[in-house]
Amino acid sequence: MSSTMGRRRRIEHWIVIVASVAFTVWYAKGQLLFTLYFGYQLARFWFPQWLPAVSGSVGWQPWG
Amino acid sequence: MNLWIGLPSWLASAAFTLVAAYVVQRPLRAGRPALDAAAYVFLWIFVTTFYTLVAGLAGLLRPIALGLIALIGLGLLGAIPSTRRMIEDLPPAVHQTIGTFRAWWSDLPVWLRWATLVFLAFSLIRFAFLIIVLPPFVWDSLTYHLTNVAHWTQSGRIELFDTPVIRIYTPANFETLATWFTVFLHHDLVVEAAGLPAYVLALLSVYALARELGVSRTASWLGSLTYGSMPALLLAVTGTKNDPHMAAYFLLCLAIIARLLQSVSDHRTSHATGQVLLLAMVFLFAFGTKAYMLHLSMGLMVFALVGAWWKGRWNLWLVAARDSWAGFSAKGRAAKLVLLAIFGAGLFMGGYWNVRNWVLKGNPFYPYGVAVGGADVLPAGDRTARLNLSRLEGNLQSLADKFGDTQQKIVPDLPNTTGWGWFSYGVGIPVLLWGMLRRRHVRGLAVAFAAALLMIFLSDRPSPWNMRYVIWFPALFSLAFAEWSDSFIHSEGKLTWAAMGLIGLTVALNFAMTLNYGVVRPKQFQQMLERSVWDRQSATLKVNMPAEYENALVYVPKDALLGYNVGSNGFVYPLYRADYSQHIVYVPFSSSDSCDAVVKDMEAKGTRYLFVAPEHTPDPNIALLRKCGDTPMSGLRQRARGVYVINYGP
Repeated sequence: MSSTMGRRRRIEHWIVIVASVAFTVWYAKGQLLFTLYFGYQLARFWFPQWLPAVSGSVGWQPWG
Repeated sequence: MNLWIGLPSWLASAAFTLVAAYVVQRPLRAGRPALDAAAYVFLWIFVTTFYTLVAGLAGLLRPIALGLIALIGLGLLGAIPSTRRMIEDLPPAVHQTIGTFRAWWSDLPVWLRWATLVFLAFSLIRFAFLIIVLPPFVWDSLTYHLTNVAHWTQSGRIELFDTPVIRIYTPANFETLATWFTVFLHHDLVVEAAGLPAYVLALLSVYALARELGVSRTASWLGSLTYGSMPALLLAVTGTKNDPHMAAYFLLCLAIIARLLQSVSDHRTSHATGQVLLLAMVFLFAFGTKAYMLHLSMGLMVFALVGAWWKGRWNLWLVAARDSWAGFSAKGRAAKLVLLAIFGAGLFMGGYWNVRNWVLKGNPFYPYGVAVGGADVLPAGDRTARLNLSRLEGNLQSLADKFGDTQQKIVPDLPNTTGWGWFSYGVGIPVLLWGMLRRRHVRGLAVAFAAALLMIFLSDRPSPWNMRYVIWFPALFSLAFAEWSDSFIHSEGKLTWAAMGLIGLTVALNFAMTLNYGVVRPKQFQQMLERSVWDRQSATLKVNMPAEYENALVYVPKDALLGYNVGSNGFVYPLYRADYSQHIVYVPFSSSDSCDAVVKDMEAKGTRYLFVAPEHTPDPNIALLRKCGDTPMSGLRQRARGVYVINYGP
């Protein structure tokens, strides 16, 4: 890779990737539970005895 | 519904529109596979909508009539010598296209081929499941988009009709295309599929635009797939909304402008006439789909000017106009007539709805008035489309509040969210910042996208739902990503795998949050799956549906005329039933009327049933009916929240 890309450019791209991880974590703070909620609903639909009900599923409120 | 007539007619109609789109495309080709593929999808949408609109205006929206028109059309295309030659060229052209696709496919890295297959397979299953299992339920669709579709399918004619929801007057190219998806089955089973051509077009347009900007196939395709995972787009595609179509047309216009910039500056202008005409067709068709194409045109003009600046030729567009006119003048008489006919069809599709409104209501944008600054330009209608700085401020504040989608989950109407999803926020923002610093193409695109966004924000009413008009915006993140990844994606080193791991994660999370629409529970899926595919009614999917709508289906016989009274933002569509068998009629009354007047209104409309529902019928009207029901007429009071059956006759 170093033959096709200078060291400075490579560092630059790694900075973008680290920033992407940071932004993804930031977005996860707001949306991760929303994202997983339907999967949880499905799991609870099939295995209601194992999983507790989640409050707020009708009048939805963000968690945390 | 008669499948023995409907399905063969639909097949004939599909064959006709596919062949006609191929014929229309011949003089409009760019000689660039990606752009030509996108243009073909657009022209199929255009031809299908044009054919449905013309047949509908003639009162021929019936499977047999449409099937016969298709067969006659195919016969004519085969009989006219010039089009016959094109059709004779079709098998080798298909063969050549398959060869081009194979070469393109084998040029992609193996990992991307697998990623593409997984993406397409998952998308196909997801789309098919949501289309087949769930009936339409998105608010605006149930008030006006699909109310048009239902009335036209039921009556066999595209026409205006009496309803309090006057947004049925707005430009309706999308609704016309959606009607093509209902008329043959006389059922709404696959009406949500009307958004799929726009989804395919949006992906192809992002890919074509990236290619025109010089990005490699691999990076362009990866960028295109990331846009295809954007939640707001995915949710709207099968939500029977016209915004995905608008996003696709805007992105296609950008790709055509990029091609024209390149070809004119390279002095390769043999396709200029066709490309300029195609650009005009897309713009006009989009204008006949939703008027905010006027706002988006600011972004297109900015992109065209920035492109001329890149090329160092401020007169580039004058040259393009001169070359395209020269190309037109050099053609024979028959070819000129064909191009003029295509342009005429574009003018018709762009202007029909507004001209109709102008003639009938004195305002082309009815029911919207238009105000610029503090001055009313066109008379106010139901609402007013304003263009002023206070709206811009309100919308920018609204965007700031929604940024990051932290307020609630993402659902089709996008209340309090942008709907841009994991990729746009996680990877999109850093790569856009990188692109703004490192790539002039990205800077140019960012300025153009920002100009279009600001024009929308100058006009749009600040509301929790206003981001649905800008679902094209995240394509900017995908294009910036394509530019960024292009410099290392072929190396397959650690950097590539780290970047692709992030992309895989964010795209997968986008799909996870759009497995359904964010509002449908597993139990509701189960309830729908327990019903026959022909009996999945909008009225019975209790996502945002008062129980009264299902009561209407239960209590009112199919062969009876159902009277209804809802407000200007009330649901009408569910009352038609999924097979459009219920005839309905608007019974206008107000809370100041007497009980006798209400009964007389019903009598005048010829109905014994009057449907009202909380949140959809004005409360004072329901209160009046409650008062009327509080009389010795037995049974009415018990049904006071549902279907009122007023026995006015013997």
